[in-house]
Amino acid sequence: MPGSPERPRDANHDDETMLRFEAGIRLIHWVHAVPFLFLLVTGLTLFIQPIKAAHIDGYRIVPLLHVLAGLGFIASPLALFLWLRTDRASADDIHRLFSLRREDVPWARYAVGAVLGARVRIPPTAKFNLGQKANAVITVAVTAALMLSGAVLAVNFFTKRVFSAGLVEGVFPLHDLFMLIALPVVLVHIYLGSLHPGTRESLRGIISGRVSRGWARDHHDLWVEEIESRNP
Amino acid sequence: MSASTGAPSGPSWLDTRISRRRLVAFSGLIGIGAFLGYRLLGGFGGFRINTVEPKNPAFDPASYRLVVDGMVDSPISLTYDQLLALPSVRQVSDFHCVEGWGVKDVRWEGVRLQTILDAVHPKPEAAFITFHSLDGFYADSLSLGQASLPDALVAYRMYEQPLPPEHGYPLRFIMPKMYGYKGAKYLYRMEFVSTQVVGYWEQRGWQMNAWLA
Repeated sequence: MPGSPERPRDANHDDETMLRFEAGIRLIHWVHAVPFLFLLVTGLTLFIQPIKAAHIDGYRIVPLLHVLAGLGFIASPLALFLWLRTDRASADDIHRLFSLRREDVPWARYAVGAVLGARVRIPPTAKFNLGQKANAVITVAVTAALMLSGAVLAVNFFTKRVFSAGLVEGVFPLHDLFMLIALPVVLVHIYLGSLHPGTRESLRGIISGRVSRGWARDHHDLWVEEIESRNP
Repeated sequence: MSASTGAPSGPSWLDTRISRRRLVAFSGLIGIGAFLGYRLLGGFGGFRINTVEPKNPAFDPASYRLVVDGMVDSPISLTYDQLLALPSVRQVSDFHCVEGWGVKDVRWEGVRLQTILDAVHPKPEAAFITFHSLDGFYADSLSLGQASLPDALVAYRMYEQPLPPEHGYPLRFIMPKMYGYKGAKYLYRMEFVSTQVVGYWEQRGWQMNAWLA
């Protein structure tokens, strides 16, 4: 049609939106993100001595909150497992996050080039790109490691009778090491999801569930085609 | 070579032009992050300081005295130099914190507690020693039996250097078979008593007998 402007590429604020994340997967995301961030912040402040030392009635507040929140967090995978048995859409998203596709290879080349400043176009991409998959896999692996090591330290916080001092002292630096691996991954995830101009549309997706169709077409074109072929 | 006008076929990794500045910036960021992480952990297996004093107590060699008194026949009061002149030992022992971290093979130098016990002649009714830190914030205690363990050490050097301020300069107590909170830093007084004093962390829930698990 003459005169009708072409839809701009990289349109982040397209009026038309489409459902990207169902309520279940959004709930799973936030039920993990909020305690994870709480544990990260309380854990990091344990490196600041006056904060670690603050106590009421003999209990050091920040370590206690960290340990109690951690014990609650450790219980969450069981809830997640039970939830996924009933929530097909979330299980489908998780399945997609944990499976590799042919398209992941060109996307990896694209991502390295884009990060290093090359003018590259986003190759055909399905619902989740390799970066999102890597974030999911690393986050789950590091979280599991943090939970396991944290469980030992939490027990040791309350009683010395279960684990030997030698075991606990071996686990202690590992818990820190896992945190150090998780920290940059989480920071990059938060930056890309909420600040980076090209990708911050995904924050809308993980809050409301919907993203602009234009953004989805630019970043996840194969997924948009899949949805549109399902509901023409 | 004829210039290609560049058909917009998908870029291949090899012919992608990257920005050298970004490469340097990202490598630098990763390096700085790794360095800060390493420092944050004290180089893995380092000490995490738990001093309770708002600031490290000041040490004045002219006025400092190590006082050993209470229920003893021969109380003593030593200047820092007199303390250094006592028979000294070097000891390599692991340090264990009740929080769950530990440091292996810490090299200490100082005076065996037994040497001091022998010098002051505790009275028969003396059953415990209270260790007092400068500035009065911290104290802890041991039974005389615990105090006579051979590796109970009054340490003034660590890793061949005078104790760093955060480790209790000028003097701290070291009890390797117990958690570290038994080792009062900034030590200036050992008081022999008949009733055990409840120490700083014991008032906050930790055990009086801090034997390692």
